[in-house]
Parts: sequence; C-alpha cells; structure tokens
Amino acid sequence: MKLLATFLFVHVVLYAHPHIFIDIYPKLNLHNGKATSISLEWKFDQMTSSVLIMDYDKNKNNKLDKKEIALIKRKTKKLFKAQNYYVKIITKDKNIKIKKLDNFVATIEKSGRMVYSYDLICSFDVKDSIVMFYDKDYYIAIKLKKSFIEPLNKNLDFDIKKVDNGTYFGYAMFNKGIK
Amino acid sequence: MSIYNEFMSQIINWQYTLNDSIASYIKLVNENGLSAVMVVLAISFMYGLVHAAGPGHGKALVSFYFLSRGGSYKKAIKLGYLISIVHAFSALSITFVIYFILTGFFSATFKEFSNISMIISAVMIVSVGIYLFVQAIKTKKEKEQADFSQEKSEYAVAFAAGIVPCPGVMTIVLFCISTGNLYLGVLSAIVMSLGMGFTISLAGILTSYASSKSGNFLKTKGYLLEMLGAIFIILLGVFLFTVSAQILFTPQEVAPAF
Repeated sequence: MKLLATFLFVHVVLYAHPHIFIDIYPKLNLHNGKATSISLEWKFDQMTSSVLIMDYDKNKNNKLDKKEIALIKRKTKKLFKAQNYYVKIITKDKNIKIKKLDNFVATIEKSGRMVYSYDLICSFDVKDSIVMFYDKDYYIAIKLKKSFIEPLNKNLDFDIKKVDNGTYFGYAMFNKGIK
Repeated sequence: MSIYNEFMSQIINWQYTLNDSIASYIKLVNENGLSAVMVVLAISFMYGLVHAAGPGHGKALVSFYFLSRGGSYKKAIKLGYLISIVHAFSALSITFVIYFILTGFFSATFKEFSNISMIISAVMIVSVGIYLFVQAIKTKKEKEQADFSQEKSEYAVAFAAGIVPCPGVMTIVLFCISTGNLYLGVLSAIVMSLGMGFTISLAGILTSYASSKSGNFLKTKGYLLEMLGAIFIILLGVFLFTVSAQILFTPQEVAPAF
C-alpha cells in the first residue's frame, strides 16, 4: 500500500517530461583565473530543428538571414531570461548573476540541426565553481558530455556530474581550476 | 541518485537515442522504402512506450481510477488504448489545423492549444473524480453498480487523459511532412500513441494488481479505497488546472516553447 501511495504521489508531483533534446557545448572564456563569460552552443535534436526551421526560415532557403535571426533572437532572449538562461553558476556557495546574453546567432547545420550560439556575460572565479545546465520546467532535456567540453576548454580541469533535484535532470561542470 | 531517479534519468537517455534514431530513419525512407518505413514504425512504438514511462497525468489518472473502481487487467488494457486513440486523434487534428489552416509559429501555437486542452482535461478530471466519489458513497449503501455508468466513466477518463496532445507526436508528424512523407507521419503518430497506450495500460494493470493484493480489506471496506481514489483524481484535476491556468496566463514570449 505504501509503495502504491508513493507511486501515485510521484506521478502527480512529477508530471512534466521533456519533448526537446539539446546537446550543449559550453566554453568558459578565461582571464587571470576568472571566467568573464560563457560561450554556449545549443544543438537542437533533428525533429525539433525541423519545426524551428518551418517557423523561422520564412523564405525556405534552408539558411537563416539577418531578419530571420533577429526574429529568433527577439523571441529567444525573453524566454532565456525568464528561465535564467537555463544555467546556474555557484562559486564559494554564492549564486553568480548572469548580466546579459550577447552575440546571439542562429544557424542551420548541414545535417539539418538548428544551432543557437551566444555568450552569457558573467564573472566568477573558476576554481571550485559549479556551472549547472538544466530546465526547471523539464520541457527540455539538456545533454552535456565530456567530449562536448574538452575540445573547447583545453586549459580547464573539470568533471561532469548529473544534476538531479527530483523533478528535473541536467548536467553540471565541476571546475577544479585551470591546468 | 535514488533508484527511481536513476530510472527516470535512464528513460530520458533512451528517449534521446530513440528520438535521434527516428529522425535518421525517416530521412532514409525516400531512398530505402519499405524497410526504412518498418524501422521507423518500430522505433516510433518504442519511443511512445518509453515516452509514456516518464511522469504523466494519464498514468496518474488511470492509476487513481483503478484504485477507486478496481477492475480486470482486460479493462486496464482497454482504457490504456482508449486513451492512446484519443491522444493520437487530438495531436493529429491540432497539428493539421496549425499546419494547413492557421499561420503562425507551430511550437507556440501548439503549446497554446495544448494549454487550453489541459484546462478542459483538468475540469473533466475533477468531474470524473466527483462522480466517482458520489458513486463510492452510493456503493457504501448498495454494493451493486450499474455496468453502463461504469463504462461511461471509462470513456470520460479516456477523453480527459487523451485530449491533451503530445508535442512529441506533433514533432514527428511535422518532421515527416518536411521530408515529404505525410502519410508516414500519420502512421508514426498512431504507432507512437499505441506505444504510449501500452505503458498506460501497464500502469492500470499494476494498480489493479496492487488493489487486488489488499485482500479482505477491499471486500469489507472497499468503499474507502474508492473514495481515496476519487479524492486523488479530484486533487490531480485541481493540480493540473492550477498549473495550466498559470501557464496560460504566462506571457507567450516567456513560455517554454521554441
């Protein structure tokens, strides 16, 4: 009976599940042991990409021109800000505020995947910092692999762990310091 | 990580892989014909099965319903598949209305439709809960129930759970359309919904099994379990209504849809 009650409760509380799958490629831009910004690439799954392309590639040339990118940027920026950029940065038990999103560009890869590239302007000590990527609404599943980070952050000594708060999952970079 | 969370995390990994595989095979359909179609349909079924294994109000509703009403495994399968039929029909019709009739952003418009249908679903769930609660009180007085009213409540549960369209189904259909395979999109959506129906049926079967294990308790104080299930259904409806209303009144540009 207890098991049944637990099963039922869990299914009421945790009713969200992801429909969009994103590979995320973060690069910490460093200066004197501090990160001054994080450059990010979001690669959408193939099927979501096709919906986004239908939505935004208005002239159907399979490329995004300035006007189309501006439209995506306008729509995405507000959403990102409302979702705290799908990022949480902690260093020395302090939450680091993201000042703004900058240099937003959207492109369509040859494979048909939609890619959003942008910088998150923030400042924090890299040593013992944690950078988490997740969607608290759990509509998006964010995937982060070591192989996504390593080529972009050759000077960084880091580990990856799963973020699990019970209602959503994500990934976190545990930064030990600069090599 | 607890075993449950580890399982949920694994479900996401499987979905990530299956989602990518479906897309890759759909792209091959134009070259490889029937063999690729069969693979797409097989993966779509698996995708639906795994997708529904994550948390969802459909399984919760079915579980509470079986907690309240009890029922055979056959009935659980029937209800699971009734839900999946309504689910497929709802997602397909909304997708086609957006694609062929409306102009605007697919994902955002679908999300709007989805939120409205979630509110309808929530109201229906509360109504079903109240109906079951009243029936439970009646049961306390007279043991016998009319089969006809039970069937009616099953259809109400199927409609309430299934009406909320799945964005995953819309995405498959639109992706197939973008590759020039509209019919494959419709088929994949139906097969994916059948996969979801399988998992939802399983939730009903498990609850039915758990209820049957309560032994003598059910025979003597069964109406208490019926009331409990009905109360859970009402709470589920209220919870869904609150969340959906909150989302509906969130400015569209900051609602999580791309």
